[in-house]
Amino acid sequence: MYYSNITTLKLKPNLYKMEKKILLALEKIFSKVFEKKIKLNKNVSSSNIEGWDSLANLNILMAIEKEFDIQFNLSEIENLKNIGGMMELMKIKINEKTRNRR
Amino acid sequence: MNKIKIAFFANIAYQLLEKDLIRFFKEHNITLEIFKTNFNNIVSDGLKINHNLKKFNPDFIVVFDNIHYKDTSILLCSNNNKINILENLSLVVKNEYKSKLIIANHFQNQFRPSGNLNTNINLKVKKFNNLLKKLSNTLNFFVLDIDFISNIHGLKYFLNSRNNYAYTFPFSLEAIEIISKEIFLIIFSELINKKKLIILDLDNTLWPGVIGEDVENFSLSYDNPANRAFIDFQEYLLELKNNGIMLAISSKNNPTIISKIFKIKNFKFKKSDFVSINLSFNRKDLEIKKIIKKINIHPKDVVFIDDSDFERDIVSATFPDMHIPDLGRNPENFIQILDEYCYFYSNFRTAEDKSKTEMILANSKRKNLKNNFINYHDYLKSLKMEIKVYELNDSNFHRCLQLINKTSQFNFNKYTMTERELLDYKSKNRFVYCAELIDKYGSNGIISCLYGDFTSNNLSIKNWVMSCRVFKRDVEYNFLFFILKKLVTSNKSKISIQYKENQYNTILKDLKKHLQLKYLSNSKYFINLNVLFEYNYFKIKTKLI
Repeated sequence: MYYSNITTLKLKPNLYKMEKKILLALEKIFSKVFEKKIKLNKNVSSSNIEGWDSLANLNILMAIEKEFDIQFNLSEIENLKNIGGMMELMKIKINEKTRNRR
Repeated sequence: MNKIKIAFFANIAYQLLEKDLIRFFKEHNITLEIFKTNFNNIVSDGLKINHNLKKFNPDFIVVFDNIHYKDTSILLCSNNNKINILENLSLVVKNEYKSKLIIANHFQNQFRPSGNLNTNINLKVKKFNNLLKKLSNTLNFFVLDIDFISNIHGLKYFLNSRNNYAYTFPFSLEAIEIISKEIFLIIFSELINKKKLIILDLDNTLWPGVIGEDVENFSLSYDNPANRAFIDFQEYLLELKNNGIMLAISSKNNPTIISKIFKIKNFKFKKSDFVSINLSFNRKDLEIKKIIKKINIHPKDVVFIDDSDFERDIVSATFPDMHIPDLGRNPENFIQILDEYCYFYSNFRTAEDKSKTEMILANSKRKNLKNNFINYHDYLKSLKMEIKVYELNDSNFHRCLQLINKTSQFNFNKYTMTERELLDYKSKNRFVYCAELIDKYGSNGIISCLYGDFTSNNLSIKNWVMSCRVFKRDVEYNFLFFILKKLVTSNKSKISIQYKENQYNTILKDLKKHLQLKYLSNSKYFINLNVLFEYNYFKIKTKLI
């Protein structure tokens, strides 16, 4: 218990940094896919952005996979239709990757 | 041509290919316009006429079939149905959309449920890909060889099942660029001027080392890895030769030594594989000038391969239009480097292409024969020539298109045509005729093509082209006279031809003089049939087949 608390504490500032980094990267990817400047927050979903259809989704997904060197499974794709869900999943994936590297 | 229009009939998310496709064309200053189609049931939707697509006027239609969609895949139809569908598809594309058809074949299945036993689906894929290859020649469509490119890059790298299940796109992110490049190459190779001749150096190009330094011990045995790489390169060149690319040698070597090489084991060439063998210690650019003159070819249609920087530089300075790739010093990379230039990428092979080297060599025999005659008329007579005239049909269509688009010297206005434009000439009041020349050395193949339109009082020749191989044999007068006699029904008919002089078609000046062509307007020249009647040319037996 003591040990895990320390880990959480240690991670907190990193977590904030990571979220910011992910959000910035997503804004870059979205702006590229939709060919216009796009500002994102956790509440944005496919209904808020015009043209966010399945094709755009695949483009976004593949760009994220390339940028962060992670892979999404078929069952996870459902969560990728809003930014909040997308960021949560990405955090898990990035952490998994970092742990495996250690 | 600065704009290309394409459409997809696909049950994959082809839209993912768009960005890369547009980029590849843009790199060559071509704008690509892609017609928006929905996810397609190729079997049913592909055969229905889409009027919007017809209006869009596509140059190419790409068919992409995904076996994952079992009810919409061509591959999973019965065998007879497959052929029917492909036949109908090619007819619809050709006649309704006046477009060229590209059909993607299938990649192999990644999985082997029964280990080494061939799985049912893999056998189906192999059979279908073979069928597609076979039908592509008779139905005149291009095969987008997904099987080949997926094998080169590896199926694991190329495919992504998640994308397939979730987004109807069976390929990985990395495959997108590769597939787009392949589609681009098929289309681009139809637009560009393809290379016709490779002039090769010998030492360190066709074999390792310098043969002149140790003739007695020279060998091309398979024990030596470098030999094997050079032999593979020889085989690659031979394959090009069999596909209609001419080969010639220009080397600073002794003819006696080189004649020995043709007897050496594992040297893949015969002397007759080369249209010209120039062995001399003269300057290379001067020797190459001789070859070009002999074959009657423009330097822009020639690729020169030599390991020496010095030789490449001097040839490049004399012939800035010639393509002179640096294949480097490592023979294991020669094929890959040359292949990537796509100089010889070709979708169709005409009968004339296959026997080009033989035809050129027969031409040399004709020239030798000519030297034995003092009187040119006697020489022409001895050739026992005959001209067969054909209307445009399926078997000569591609050769005619090739002649119209590739001929640069005997070409009245250098108007290049798409397949669709030529097809349009099959209609009423329009004509396309081509001529095959046969002589005692064999057939020269289809060597001339002439097309235009006519009404009761007017006959207008839009363009007329002839292969430079048969110049100065009076074929042109016989062919023109034959066609005009056939088409002109009244003495009052006005006959005209579109003629635009350019730096390449200077050879037509004599013809213009002999036929006394008179300028009308807008590059149109008037042909006086009486002048042709009276002109004293060598008469050749000519008939319509």
